[in-house]
Amino acid sequence: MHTFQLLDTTLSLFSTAMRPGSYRRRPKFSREEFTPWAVKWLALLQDMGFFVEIPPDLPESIHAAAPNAPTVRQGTFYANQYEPLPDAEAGGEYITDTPGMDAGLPSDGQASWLRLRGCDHGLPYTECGFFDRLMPLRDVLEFCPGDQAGCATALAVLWLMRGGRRVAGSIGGSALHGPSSGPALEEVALCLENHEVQTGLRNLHRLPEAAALLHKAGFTVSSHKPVLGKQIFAVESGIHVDGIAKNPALYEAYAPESVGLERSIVVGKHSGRAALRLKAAQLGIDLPEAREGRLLAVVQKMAVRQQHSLSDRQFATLCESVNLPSGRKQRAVTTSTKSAATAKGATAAKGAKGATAQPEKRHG
Amino acid sequence: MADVILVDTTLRDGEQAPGFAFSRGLKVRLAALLDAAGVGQIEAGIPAMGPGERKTLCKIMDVCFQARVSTWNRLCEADIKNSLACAPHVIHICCPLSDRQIFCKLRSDRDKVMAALQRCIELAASGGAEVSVGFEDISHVTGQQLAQAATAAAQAGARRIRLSDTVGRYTPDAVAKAVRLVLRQGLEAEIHAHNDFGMAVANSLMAAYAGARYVDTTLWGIGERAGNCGMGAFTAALDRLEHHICAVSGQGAARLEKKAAPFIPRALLEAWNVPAAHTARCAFPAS
Repeated sequence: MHTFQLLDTTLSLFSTAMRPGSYRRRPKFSREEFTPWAVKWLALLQDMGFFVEIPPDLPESIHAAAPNAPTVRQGTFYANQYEPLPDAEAGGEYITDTPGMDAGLPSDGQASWLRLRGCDHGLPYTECGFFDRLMPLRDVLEFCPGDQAGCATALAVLWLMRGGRRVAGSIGGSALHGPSSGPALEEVALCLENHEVQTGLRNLHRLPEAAALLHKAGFTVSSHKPVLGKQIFAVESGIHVDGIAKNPALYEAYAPESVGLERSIVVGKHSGRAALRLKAAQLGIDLPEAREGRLLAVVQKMAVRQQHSLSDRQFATLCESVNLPSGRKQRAVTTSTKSAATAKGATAAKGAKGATAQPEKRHG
Repeated sequence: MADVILVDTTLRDGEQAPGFAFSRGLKVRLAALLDAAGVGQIEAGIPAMGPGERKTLCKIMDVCFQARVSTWNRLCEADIKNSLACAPHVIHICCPLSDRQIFCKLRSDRDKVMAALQRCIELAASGGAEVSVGFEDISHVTGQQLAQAATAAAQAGARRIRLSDTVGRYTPDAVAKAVRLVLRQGLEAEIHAHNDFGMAVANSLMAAYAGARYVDTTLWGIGERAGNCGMGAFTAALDRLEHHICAVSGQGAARLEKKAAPFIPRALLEAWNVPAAHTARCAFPAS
């Protein structure tokens, strides 16, 4: 079976950034703090099935903790992307030692990889032999396309889909580390899985933990960053909410839980009746059909007035303002249990109502 | 003549990003900025949303001097009639095309959808507007399904096909293939890419290289989920690769995004990585 390797170079990027005079964005911790952070990062990424490159200046204990992780060889260098491709046996460019690499690959006896960087302008040539030229080196070539033209992820995906074996990049990619850091590995991974290509990755629901670790290092992930962003599964527009209610896959390329995120419904200017119904159910509010039209008009008016969608609290207040009979019940529910606002809101609310009613009977 | 014409959909798909709610004044102002920057077509809204939206569309038509204004419609004759009332330059009809969209969402079948498409195109064309058809969820459509639908659309009077990558799972090679297939039917091609896998810019570039003349963008890349193809990112990439000419340069798009940012609530744009320096503290009224 064809096996891919996605090599994360975050530790090397941080290590380089912490050297004096480096142009790279520095993480917000000292060398001493870097080591325990790196241990956590290494364990997390290896648990998800990514390969992690360890810079040589990290303590020996980290290398011992990850004997299979490739280590950057001292004294390697970056070659210009326009220079001819190096001979695999002669080495060159940027070489990584890969002890134990046969654990995940067919035993091909390869012990070193050539890293091909740059190629930012490669996209137009992918249809006229760009990858064909590289294919003879596919078992030793580690592709790390640059993102100056916003094409790094696409180039990495195409390389692997056409038979390449290994891609180097970083979690978060150029959005966090700059365009020379290669593709965002989480995007490459999810894209391949979406096309039913076996990546050998697992536990990708732990990706938010990686985002949290990056945040600790001072690298905040945008709320709408593909795969990692916390708000990518928020949905407002009526058509999309309706479609998701019928089949989430219609408007979601991958399930939220597969990447450790949650879906949420936002109520605002573009909401339709289906969105109001679902949101009301989430909050445990009974919404009579006759009131939907009036509520929708009020919701849209308020959203435009404040140039923003409504918070859950605002929505609940509006439900009360249109004289929904269950508004008061909802207040009772939310005070008695904070779990009312869950996906199974309607059921939970019914249960909670029952729970609050029983003691009343007993007291009575 | 520009090789690539930008179709800006900030006022329609961009605004559908959760949280955004543009007022009429703001939409008109943004449209004027887009027009002045050289955007070729502005997808201004959805007339079926109500009389308020239709009034906004008419005002947008008034402030645009060079950009053509288009409206977005579901595959529904009532929607088209609402659009005709606004007399836009382009009427866009969104047609679900994948099996899962037709069977799961519309709960219909392909023949009925094609019949409805024909009726809608003929109705839209009767007002004299250019008709473009967007095939929704195109990355889950086979080449044969696309070819059949494109032929039917062309026969009914459509001039342009928008390849709408609804869930952003297209890869550049598949985009190029689909664009060429559309061009072979004698139609113009347009790409509408989403960024779910971080490939919206690459897919849009590849579509342009394959012959698509129209590329959909939004300011700052805002849109559903991970957003759409960002105008700044796309034009910068196009400049960098130096193969195609666009009326809006990378620098021009960057200036436009900087000019427009203060009109949008800061909290919303910060979630899209727009530098805080570009946003204004007073833009977000207390709620």
